[in-house]
Amino acid sequence: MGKASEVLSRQKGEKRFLLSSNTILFIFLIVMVAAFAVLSRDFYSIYNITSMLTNIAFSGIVAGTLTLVMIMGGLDISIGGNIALTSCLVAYLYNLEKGPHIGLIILIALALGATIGSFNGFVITRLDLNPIITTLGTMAITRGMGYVLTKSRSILILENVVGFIGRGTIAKMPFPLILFIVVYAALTIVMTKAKFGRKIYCIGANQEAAKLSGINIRKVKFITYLISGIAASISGLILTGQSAVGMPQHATGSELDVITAVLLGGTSLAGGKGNILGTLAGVLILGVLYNGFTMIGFRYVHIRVFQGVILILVVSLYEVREKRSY
Amino acid sequence: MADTTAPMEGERRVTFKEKLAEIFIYGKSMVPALLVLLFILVVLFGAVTPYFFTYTNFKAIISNIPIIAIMAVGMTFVILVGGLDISVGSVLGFTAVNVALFHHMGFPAWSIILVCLGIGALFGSFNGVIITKVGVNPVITTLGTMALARGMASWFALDIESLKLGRIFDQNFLLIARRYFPKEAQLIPITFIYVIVLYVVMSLVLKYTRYGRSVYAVGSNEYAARLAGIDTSRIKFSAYVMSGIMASLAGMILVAQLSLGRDDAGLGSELEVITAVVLGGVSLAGGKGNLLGVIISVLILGVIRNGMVHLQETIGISYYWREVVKGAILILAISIDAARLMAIKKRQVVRQ
Amino acid sequence: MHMEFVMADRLLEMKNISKHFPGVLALDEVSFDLKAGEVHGLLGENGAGKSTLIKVLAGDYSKDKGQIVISDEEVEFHSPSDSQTMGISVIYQELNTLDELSVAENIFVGNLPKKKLGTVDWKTLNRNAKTVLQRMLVDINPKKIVGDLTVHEKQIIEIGKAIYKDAKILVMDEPTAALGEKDTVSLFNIIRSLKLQGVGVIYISHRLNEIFEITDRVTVLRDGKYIGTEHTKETERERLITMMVGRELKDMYPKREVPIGKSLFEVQGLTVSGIVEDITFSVHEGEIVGLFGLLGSGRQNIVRAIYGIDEKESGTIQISGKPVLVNNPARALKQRMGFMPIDRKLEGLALTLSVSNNITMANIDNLGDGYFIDKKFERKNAQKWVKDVNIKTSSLDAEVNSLSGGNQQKIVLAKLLETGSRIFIMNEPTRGIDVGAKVDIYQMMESLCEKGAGIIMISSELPEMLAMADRIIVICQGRITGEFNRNEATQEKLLHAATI
Repeated sequence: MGKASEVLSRQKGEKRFLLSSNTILFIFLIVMVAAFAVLSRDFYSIYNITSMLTNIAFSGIVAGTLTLVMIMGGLDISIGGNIALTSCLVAYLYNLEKGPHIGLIILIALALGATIGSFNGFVITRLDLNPIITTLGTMAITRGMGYVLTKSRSILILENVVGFIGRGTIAKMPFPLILFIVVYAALTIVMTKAKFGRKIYCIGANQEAAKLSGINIRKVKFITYLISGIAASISGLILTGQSAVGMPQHATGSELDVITAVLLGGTSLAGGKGNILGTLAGVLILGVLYNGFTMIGFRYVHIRVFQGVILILVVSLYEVREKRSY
Repeated sequence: MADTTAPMEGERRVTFKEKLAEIFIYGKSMVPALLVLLFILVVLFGAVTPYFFTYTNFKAIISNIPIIAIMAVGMTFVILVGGLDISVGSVLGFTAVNVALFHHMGFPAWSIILVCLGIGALFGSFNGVIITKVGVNPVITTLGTMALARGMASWFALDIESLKLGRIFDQNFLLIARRYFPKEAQLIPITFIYVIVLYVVMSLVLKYTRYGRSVYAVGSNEYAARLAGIDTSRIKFSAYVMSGIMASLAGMILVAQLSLGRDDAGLGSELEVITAVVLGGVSLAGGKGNLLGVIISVLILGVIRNGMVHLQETIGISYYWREVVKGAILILAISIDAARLMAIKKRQVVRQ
Repeated sequence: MHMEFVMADRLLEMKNISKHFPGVLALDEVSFDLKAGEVHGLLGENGAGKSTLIKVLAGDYSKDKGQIVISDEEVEFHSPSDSQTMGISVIYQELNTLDELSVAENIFVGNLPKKKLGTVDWKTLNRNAKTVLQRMLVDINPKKIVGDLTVHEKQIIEIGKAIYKDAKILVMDEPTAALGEKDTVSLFNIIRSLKLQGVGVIYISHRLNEIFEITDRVTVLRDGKYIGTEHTKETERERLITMMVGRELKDMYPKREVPIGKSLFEVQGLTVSGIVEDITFSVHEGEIVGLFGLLGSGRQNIVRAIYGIDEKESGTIQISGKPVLVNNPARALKQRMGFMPIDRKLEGLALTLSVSNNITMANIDNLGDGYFIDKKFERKNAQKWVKDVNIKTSSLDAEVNSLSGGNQQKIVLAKLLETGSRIFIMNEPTRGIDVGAKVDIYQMMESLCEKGAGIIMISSELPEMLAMADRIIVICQGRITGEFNRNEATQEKLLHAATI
């Protein structure tokens, strides 16, 4: 074992290369992009690329923060509910007579994400509960509140600022994409250079050893879940802006996408392993894949099926590879 | 003058909090705690509306619980061996769609039932193989299967929608869920009987068969069970198959009840099922718990669901709070489970 | 007459067994044999190879070379069930009971008696369980849940399992580690009754008293090699110790004369209710204080409470005369206390992270100003310790997993040194590491003492304790039962205090 890993290269027959996982992923990405460009005329259009990148940005932001959570050894399934509730709250507040100013609404949205993240963090660290089931519960609670708030209807929101977050461009780049790049740059710096990031790796690799080494497990975990919550509400703002609607059905099933992207990027469920670059590759690959499939003619329902298959395929492959290397 | 109401030296008044902890956390079985909870809920909801105590309402409650109750049996097996299955709701949905499909193709009722059970077994086996042979984490595996099954349900349903074939008309099939006993008085729905029989049989299996005892052994200490010669992979695999079959069984009954097979059937039900099982005393750590607690907590959840409808009609609390309540109860249930585990650990603290 | 005949049957022969793991040769052509009705002791220090030999016999490990012969038939084991089928049963220190199930179910797990319909026959199950228990002259209610039993009772259940399986060869790994005197007597009676039934018992222990009390023969291993086999009645203590340690005690343990300074660390009245009571002792600059006791005496609880890992009901700690509050490891580290856990893989190291990451794990906040880590600074520090503590690794970025046990332990030590610790709690510091690394660790301990550090050392190795500690505190059943200076301590005195 060591830094690099041996992987069978699919395209080049049965030869073995000493390539890092991330390189393999990016090669695969390039091949895929090329393939889709050939298979579908519309794939390469500005419109498609823009919309694809916006979608990637939307799920990519939460994927990035989820990477932190998963490297730490936890999981956050509540992001979908968080996104939905954010969009409902924003639309609801906006449509109130004498409602708050849009700037305030955005701040409230971020505060909401922080609250949900804090709740997750608190319950998981203080009560020592299983993160998976806890966030499953939070997902129900947040999405449920979305239903309560909107009485199960969609609320239209035609607004400039939020619309800009979702659909605006700066120098021809979609705003969500800019957010995405900023977030990923920040996360990469945190995970590679910051003390906080190092602590996350230590906790994920061996929580007991980290505890004995004086690392404040509770604080680090809490902050990580908090960050995940805020990221989800940012994504919620993007989605609301994009779709111009706040509805509780938003982002249903998105947790699957995001988890698949993170796992595809090489983050281990057991914790302690993974990096932001890998998640970036995972997010890009999945984004291109789904977009490409749509371009070729697959419908949403087919893609849903693929989502499940890909998740199981990815984890199975990594699991088999782990076993072989021992 | 001595204060006669003060506790004497050596005594302590037991506080309410301590009493609560005693019932919920330190008790060997969750059953007494659950019965207390059920009683409190019934009283509370009865206070909100006297309609709560009518026989019609009672029938409404018990006709809504079979779906969750049946899936809870499968989930109990899975959690007992230390796993988890969040794909049950989707397998239910996929089954529902297939019932409609096969019905349209003209299959007779008995064959539809067989095929659907096969579907459940298939998904369960798939889960089982990935989890036991490949070794993937159960949550992630069943997360994938959940998407897979739901996607396939929607995909198959596309055909149905275009042909408007969701409706089921085969009387033979519908009757599996629509009979009442006795026929004239319409007192007890047949689904109620299904649930009772299923729970009794499965309880006997868990307590009195080698297979059932092996399930507990594997959940309690997988390593020791394996050392003792138990085929732990096979036991775990079978638990997932059981869960899949229960999900498809529930799907069939749901379709028969509604006479409609839709692709969103069972959406979100995995949450309720897990809540029911964990609240019922089946510990997430595995190896502990039984079906008696599960059926009582299924009943509790049914009472809450029913009660919330009444709450909406009388006090005006929106019915949409239901999802929120479901999530909150889940977190409450796992908190109780964690507290119970902690209490046991504390009791077993050894000098080292 | 009958005894002689029974003892002549050779149940087991292990010939020239070799087994290696990455970086270490655990067994080097070790031989061992066992006769029916015999209790054969297996002696050796930590890391001598006893556990590995037993794991090979149990089918948990595969051997690289050598043969295993059972009742004159050569066998190959591919899994634990193979070994069980051949009549071998191992009772490990960490008992493998199914705590949620009943006594009867544990004894017969996997083989529950059936009624005609195929359902479990609970009546017969409980009845059979009672029979098995009676064969061992014990009286435990077969319906009781195992989780509620004492350690000794759980042990009896495990033995019961073996008896039911008609084990011919029973291996017991440090069985008295967690037992008091009464339970030990009970255990020995059970062993004697098993002897009479022709069962062969392999008894692993490093309690010489017990070896002399219960065994017929004893084999000594050292550094993975077979040293020799003696008839217990014809040998003596000194001979066995020499065989175990191999070299002159003074070569093995590089003890130097270090001046003892003023009080560095004091704990008073430490109590964890029901576990340890009123623990009071002190450590001076340059001093190594040993905590001795049997497994189950409470030493672990004491140090964990001191370091703030576990909660305590009462007790105060003073460092250099000043009272301090230590209720979690972070606070302890701030007070320059370092903790070397008993299980480095479980609590001491992040096996998948690199050498340098592990060394700096307890000092992350000091690796740079502000929020970021100064990587150059980190590497410089890590490199310093790699050199100072003599850690053999291919690079600073190697995964700790790939290093040998001895080097891994050194990394744990380096981690403590990086934080500037002055008070060390070393929990079985040389457990499971080769002799070369052991000597390195002893050297480091002495260097630290020369620089004024104070060390609290827990060790179950009497020779190690007697050689390295300046003062030995004996713990028994959660209380301090003795304190001995270096020059007055002997094995007998220590063991006596430890078993009151």
